Amino acid sequence: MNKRLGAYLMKKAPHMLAFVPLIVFGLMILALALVLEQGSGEKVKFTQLVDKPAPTTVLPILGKNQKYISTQDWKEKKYIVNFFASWCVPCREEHEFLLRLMENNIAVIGIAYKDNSKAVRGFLRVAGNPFRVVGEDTTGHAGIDWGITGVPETYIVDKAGIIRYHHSGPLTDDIIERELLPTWRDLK
Amino acid sequence: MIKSAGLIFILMGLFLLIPLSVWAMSAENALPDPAQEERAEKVGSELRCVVCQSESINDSQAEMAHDMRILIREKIKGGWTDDQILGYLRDRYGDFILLRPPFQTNTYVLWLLPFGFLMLAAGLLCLLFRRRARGG
Repeated sequence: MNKRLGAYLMKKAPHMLAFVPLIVFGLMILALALVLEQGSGEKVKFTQLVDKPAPTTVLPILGKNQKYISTQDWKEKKYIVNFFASWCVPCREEHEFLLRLMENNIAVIGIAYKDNSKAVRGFLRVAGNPFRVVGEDTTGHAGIDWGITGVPETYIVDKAGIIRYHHSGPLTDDIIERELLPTWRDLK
Repeated sequence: MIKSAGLIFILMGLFLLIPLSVWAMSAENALPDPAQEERAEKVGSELRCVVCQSESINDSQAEMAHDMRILIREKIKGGWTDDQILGYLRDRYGDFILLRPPFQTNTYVLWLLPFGFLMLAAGLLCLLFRRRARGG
């Protein structure tokens, strides 16, 4: 540090030094405010499991007594997992896109998150069923296993059982065309 | 009249002393073994509710937090250690879920900066005192 400058300030203008903490404090507040301002309105994204193995999920199959779906059975095939619920409003919004995926012969496994069988069946009867198979996650623990924070959430799993894509929130035309389908096509 | 108003205020004050987290886990879901339940409480207090952000899982009313409280207890019953449970959730939700950020490469600054500032301040104070002493 410049000793002479320090000494000069101490002698000539000690009151100016007194402002230094205040200025530093002000700058810290400013920096904090800027960071907070930038982050506002942006949802924290949880995509920890992308490029990691998909969890082994075993769930009772909707409408089939004592039959279970396991993600292990889907090894060597690529598939999409969609967490949904009949009580979830954004799920209804994205439903038409899931139906479109089905029309394109894309395998989508539905996981009914914290729902009851009757409500799920009613929902799929009215809105159409885009799923190859529907597993029932009544406790919500399968959802936590996949790291979801709500419904709907969508994952692409490749043939090796690795999660390659994760989208949180309803699918839109834009997301399907620009993210989901290209990722899907790139996978063998 | 005034006396009873005072009494009401004292009672209201006393209610404020009751920690709300006492009700976080309803009796039906609590583990029968008090030591295990205590562990579950401790693990829950270290985890951030992923849908409400500034609350621990123990303090949150959110359904997701409730499910995680149940999950923690199931894992404890299944013989998992506290670290295994924390690790499991961290793998899925990232460092974000830990209320206490871990000490690692991307958090060195976060942890060390306060001590850095403390040392800097101490150093400056020392300088100042020495100068004062010299100057009389």
